[in-house]
Amino acid sequence: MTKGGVANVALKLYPPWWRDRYLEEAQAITGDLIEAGDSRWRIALNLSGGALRARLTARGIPMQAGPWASRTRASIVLATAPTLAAVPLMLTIRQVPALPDGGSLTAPSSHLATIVYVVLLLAFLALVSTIIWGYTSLSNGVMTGGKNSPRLRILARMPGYLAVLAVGLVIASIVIEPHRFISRGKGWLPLNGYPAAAHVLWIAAGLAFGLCWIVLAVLLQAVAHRAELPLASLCSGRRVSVAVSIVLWLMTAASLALSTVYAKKISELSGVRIDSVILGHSLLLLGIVFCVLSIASTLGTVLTSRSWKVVSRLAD
Amino acid sequence: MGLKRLGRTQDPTILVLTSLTGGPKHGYSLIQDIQSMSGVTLGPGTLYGVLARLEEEGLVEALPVEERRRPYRLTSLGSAILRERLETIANVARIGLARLGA
Repeated sequence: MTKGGVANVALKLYPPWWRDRYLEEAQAITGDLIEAGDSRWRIALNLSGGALRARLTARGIPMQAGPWASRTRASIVLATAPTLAAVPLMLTIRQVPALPDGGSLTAPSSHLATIVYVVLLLAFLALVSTIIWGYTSLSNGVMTGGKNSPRLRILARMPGYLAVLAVGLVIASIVIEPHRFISRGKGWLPLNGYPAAAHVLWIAAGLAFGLCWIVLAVLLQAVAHRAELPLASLCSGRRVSVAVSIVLWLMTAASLALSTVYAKKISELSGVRIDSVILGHSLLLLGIVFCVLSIASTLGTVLTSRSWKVVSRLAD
Repeated sequence: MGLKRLGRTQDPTILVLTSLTGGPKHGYSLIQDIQSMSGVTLGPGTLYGVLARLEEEGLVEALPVEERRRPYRLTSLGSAILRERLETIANVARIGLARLGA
C-alpha cells in the first residue's frame, strides 16, 4: 500500500469504469493532498462519498455496452444479495408461534396470528423459489458467457451440487432415523433405525447447506466483478431482482404484523410465558432487519431497471 | 462563521468552471485555486464527481496526461453556460446588495 493508505482503499470502492478513467490522476491528487498535510481520513471519507455517488448516479459512465452491462450485473447482485441474509434469519424462527395464553387457535387474535404466520411462511417459500430461479438463470448465464474462466464456471455449478447433496443427506437422514419408539421410564427408546447415523447425516446436511450459501456469496461477488453474462441472463436477473424486492417487503410486513399481534395479545394477558414475549421481540427485530434488506434490494432493483434500459438500447 | 449558518452556498460546479476560466488545470491545481478564490476546500471525491459530470455534458474536456496529472479545460459550450450563470448570480447579488444598502 502506498502513502495514500486508507484513501487508496476508498479509491477501490469506485466502479470499474471510473477507476479505468480517473484512478491514476485521483491517486496523484490524493498523494498531493496528503503531502500538503490534509487528513487521510477526511480524504478517504470524501472519496467514499464520491464512490457511492458514482455507483448510484453513474454520471460520466461511457455509453458502451461493457460498462453498462457491468453496472447492471452489480445492481442485480445488490438487489439479490439480501436473500443470503434473509434465509438464515428466517430459519431462526423455527416454531409455529406459541400462543401467549397457551390456548387453542379459536381466539380471534390467534386466528390473526396464524394467518399472518402462514403469509410469512408462504413469502419465505416464494423467496426460496425465487432464489432457485435466480441461481439457475445465473448459472446458465455464466456457463454460456463466452469469456468466463473455467474456475468461474466451476464456481457457478458448485452451489447447485451442494444444495442437491444437502437435500439428499436430509432425505437419507429422514429414511434411517427411528420411526417407532417405546416408552421406557421418563424417555423413549427407538425400536428401529440408526439414530446416531441419522444425527450425523443431519449435521452433514447442515454443513452442505452452509457451504452452499458461502459459495453462493462468493459467486455473486465474482459475478459482480468479472463475469460476462448474456443479455437474456441480465433480463432474467432484472425480473429476479423485482421478485426478490416484492417478496422481501412482504416478509417485512408479515414479520412486523406478527410482532404487533403478539404485542397486543401479550398486553391483554397476565403471566404470559416468557418465550412468547421473546418470540414477539424477535419478530419485531426480524421485521426491522427485513426492512433494511428490502430497502437495499429495492435500491438494487431500481438501479438494475435503469441500467437495463441503457444496456438493451445499446444492444439494439 | 455567518456563512456557515446558511449551509452550502457555493456550488462546486460553478467553482470548478470559474477556476478553469483562468486556463487548463489539473485536479490539485483546481483544488488550490478554488480554495484561494472562495475559501472552499473541495475533496477529491467531490471534485471528480463534478469533473465526470461536466465532461459528460461537454462543458469541460480532458487534455493529455502530464506526469500522472490530467489537465482539464473549459469548452466553448462550458464558457457560454458559465457566463449565463454568472450573469444571473451577479444580477441577484446586485439586487440583494442594493436592497440591503437601501
